Amino acid sequence: MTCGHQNHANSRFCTTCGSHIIPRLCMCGCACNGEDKFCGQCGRNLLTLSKKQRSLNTDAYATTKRYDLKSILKDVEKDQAHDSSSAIKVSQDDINALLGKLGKP
Amino acid sequence: MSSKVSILIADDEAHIREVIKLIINELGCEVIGEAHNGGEAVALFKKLKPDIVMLDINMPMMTGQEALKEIIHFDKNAYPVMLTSLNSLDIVKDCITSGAKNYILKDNAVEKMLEMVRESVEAYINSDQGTVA
Repeated sequence: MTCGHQNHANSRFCTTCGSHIIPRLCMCGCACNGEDKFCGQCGRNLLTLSKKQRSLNTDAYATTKRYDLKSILKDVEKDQAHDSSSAIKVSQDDINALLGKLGKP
Repeated sequence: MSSKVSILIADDEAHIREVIKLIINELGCEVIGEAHNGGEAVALFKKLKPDIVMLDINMPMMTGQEALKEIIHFDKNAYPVMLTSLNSLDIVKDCITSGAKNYILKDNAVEKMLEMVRESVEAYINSDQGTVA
């Protein structure tokens, strides 16, 4: 809250300044209190959610007052697919060879 | 072995911890602690000072990668072994250069995992850190 008041977890409006409390959606699907720093379900740091993720959450919520979990999950999957395609995957044999090079068992 | 190698397990999935415990017991080692996330792993490592710490990477609160760095920062002679399903080269390299002594993929067959954990335990015993041979 811009007024700094700590509201109850279920509050939709600040009981001091009256401003609307927008919940923060974690990537695990848990709808957290807008003031929460960590997700109560999976422990993920909510402050480190990507800008895209944050805007998806707030945009979707602002227009419909409901989260569209399906569309959010689709975007997350797209991001993950992009991440995984750009990363080089290795097998256990590759890892063992790398460890051998570095003189580890 | 005159005394058992003590091992701390860190994995957020209970069934995976059970499998790892079976493997460790099969090798005659002792599980002295179980952590459900990276932060707990670091705290338990400092408290229990296990011979070996087995770290998963994808865990809530603090990842195994972060925990590995904190553990090595706390004790440069620690003997961390990564046990994860993540097989990205960047992550593997980062863990190994950060101090992981071994990196075992969870998608290995149980027999292969047992063999690799055995190799890690033997390497620990034969290392400078090994005090239980």
